[in-house]
Amino acid sequence: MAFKFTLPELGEGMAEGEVASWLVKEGDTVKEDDTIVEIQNDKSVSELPTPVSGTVKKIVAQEGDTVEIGDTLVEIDDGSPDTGDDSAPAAAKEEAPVAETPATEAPAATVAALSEPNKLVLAMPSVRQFARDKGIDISTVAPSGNHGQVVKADIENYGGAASAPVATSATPTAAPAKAATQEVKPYKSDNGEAETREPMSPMRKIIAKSMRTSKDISPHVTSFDDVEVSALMANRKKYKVAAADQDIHLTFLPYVVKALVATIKKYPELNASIDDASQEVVYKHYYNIGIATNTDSGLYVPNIKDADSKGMFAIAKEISENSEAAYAGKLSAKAMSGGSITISNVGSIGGGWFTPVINQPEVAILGVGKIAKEPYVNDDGEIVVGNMLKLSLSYDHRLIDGALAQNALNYMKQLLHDPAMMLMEG
Amino acid sequence: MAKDSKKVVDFAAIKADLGKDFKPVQILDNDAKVVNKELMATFSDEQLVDFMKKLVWERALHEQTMNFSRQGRLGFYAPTLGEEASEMGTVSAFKENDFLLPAYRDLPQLIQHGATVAEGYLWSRGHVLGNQFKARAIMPQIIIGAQMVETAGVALGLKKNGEDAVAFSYTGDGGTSQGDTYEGMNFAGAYEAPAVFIIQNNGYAISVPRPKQTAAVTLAQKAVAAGIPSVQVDGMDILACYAVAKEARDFAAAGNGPVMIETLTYRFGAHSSAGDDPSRYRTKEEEQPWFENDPLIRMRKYLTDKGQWSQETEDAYVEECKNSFKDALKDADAVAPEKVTDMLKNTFEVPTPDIAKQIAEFEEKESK
Repeated sequence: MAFKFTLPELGEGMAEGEVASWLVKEGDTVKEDDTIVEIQNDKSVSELPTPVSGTVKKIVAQEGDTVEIGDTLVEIDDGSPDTGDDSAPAAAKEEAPVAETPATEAPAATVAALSEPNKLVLAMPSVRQFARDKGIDISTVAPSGNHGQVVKADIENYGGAASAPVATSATPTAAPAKAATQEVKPYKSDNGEAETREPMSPMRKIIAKSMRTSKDISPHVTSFDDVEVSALMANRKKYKVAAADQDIHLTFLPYVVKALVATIKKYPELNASIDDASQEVVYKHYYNIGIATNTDSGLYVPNIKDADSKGMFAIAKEISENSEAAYAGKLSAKAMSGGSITISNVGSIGGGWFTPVINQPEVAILGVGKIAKEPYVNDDGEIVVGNMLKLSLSYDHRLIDGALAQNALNYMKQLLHDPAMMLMEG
Repeated sequence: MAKDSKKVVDFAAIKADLGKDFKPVQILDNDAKVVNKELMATFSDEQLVDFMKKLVWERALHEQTMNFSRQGRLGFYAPTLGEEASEMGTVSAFKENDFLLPAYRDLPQLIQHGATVAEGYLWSRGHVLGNQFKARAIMPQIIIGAQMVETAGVALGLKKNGEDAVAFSYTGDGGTSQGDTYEGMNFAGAYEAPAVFIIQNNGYAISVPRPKQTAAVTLAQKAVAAGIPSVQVDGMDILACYAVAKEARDFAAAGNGPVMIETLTYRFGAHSSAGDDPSRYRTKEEEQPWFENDPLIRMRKYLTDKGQWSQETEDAYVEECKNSFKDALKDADAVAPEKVTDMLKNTFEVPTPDIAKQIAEFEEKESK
């Protein structure tokens, strides 16, 4: 049976801590006093050594989890045969605090707080701040911690109480623990009569959530650059008619797709994902280029499957078809999953440089701006009117270093500057 | 009158001179160079190795005990990393019948003075048996500076009984700002009581740096007001700490009254196992020279050069110490947890009516 290593009290008044990082994984062999986990509390980060030797059987508390004192962090198989003893004291322990906080006391406290604003509340400063951030009057929260302390979980679970000020505007769905960890601040205004409120559409909620998640997961860096594309424009002009004959609308986008495929072939880090659970980089050996498509009902990212094996016209055709399907709301989930990297094109509506947000779980996104007529110094050192295409590459800095991103951009610029190169490399 | 610019008293000059007479005593410097050959000659090789072992023992005790603490197997513990020379050097100078009044960072001295490690661990857990050691000492004081007054009282008692013994006590730089420290020194001084007050100046009172603690340039000079002699000593030099403490003990035991010692040391880590983060109140640049001034370094080098010590010897001894601490924890674990009724029964020899009522109440709960 396994030894259960529980969170010890690491600080005075400490009721809980956050698992900052695990230094071992399941299956690892550990020796007594080896440091196995780092716990972040209000005051500092503490490295905890294991009290027993054995094999890590199960990591119970994951990184980022908030655990209370006495909660099991990890189970370590130390070969001890004390199965019965192991669970018995744990159960007894759990009973004790429940008995110490009689159920009758909690509601009484809630009522008292309304008439007694000076009521003594036991809580750590961080918990008080957390309550303020959430707009919750901490004196009305029923404590569950030792000695009547209000702990973070009490604030998180407070949403259910009738007197919660945010309850009226919150969604009726019972918020699971995960969602509750995000701070929810009500929007308050002194000018309410000059404002109107509309419920967020489900699509808008999804966009809001995925944008926020992406920014939370990936440290974004965006590199800006521009490239002279007169040759590309001439090429497009030349083949536009031929394309039209086949009922294909040849825009600049297929060129960018082609150039991007060649680029991510050369820089495979751009065609990858990070598996946070296993701490591995997943390299993709397929080239599905997503095209962010803006419709009235929201943003969709269908991708061109296996763009490396398709010709320019085929890509152009697929872009049009995907776009139409997006407008008609007929995109399949499959068309939008399994992407390598995404292109977000704002050039067609006159945009320049911007900072696109990565389409998770990808690690980079290319923002394509307009082609602007600007002074340009050509190879002969003359100032001429250049056609400058604006590029913005946002990338996940965990995996992609700035130099790599710039090298990739430089390479793509070569291809876009001289489309004949794409025949060679695309 | 007005043209006479001569000052009645030159306060600026007096202020500039305060504390300048104190020069830290040193025998072995940080490069393992003997700076006081005469004193060095008073130590035998055996003694030197014994000092080294005490330094290693305290470091191992610190490391193993901090591990126990982070594993949730102990209660409060005050880290002693960096203060080994100051603690082991001074405590080694006292005799078994001398009376120790430690503070909470002084468990290592209490153990050296006769308590067991298991008793120290029980004390950490708040168990009453952790206070019932054989050593002639009181349990480590938690209230800052309070033991200094007690020391004066104990010392006076020893004097009245005509014993050949002294009372010795520890506090920190922060403790010197407490009225108790002055009161203790003053009282002991007035009655010429055999007391040795040891101020471990480790640079910080939790997060308050020594220069912000007091305007006094040395802590040793605080003894001047009480009319007792004092000295500063290199708190990273175990030999100097021992020599100074021995001299102080002999002086006090001979009936000359109390002495105060300021050891200049440094708390390498956090204030306590309760988890403060030193990086929030001091810089790496400040810490680094102190880390290089580690009390183990000079002794290790000196003895290794003499062929009296080796890394293998040290590693083996660390292992031996740590195993003994693990055994001590097992001994502590084997002691039955204290019950509420135990505490209540320990409060008065004859329980007051209130407490008698509580004892009855808790006996009923505990019997379930």
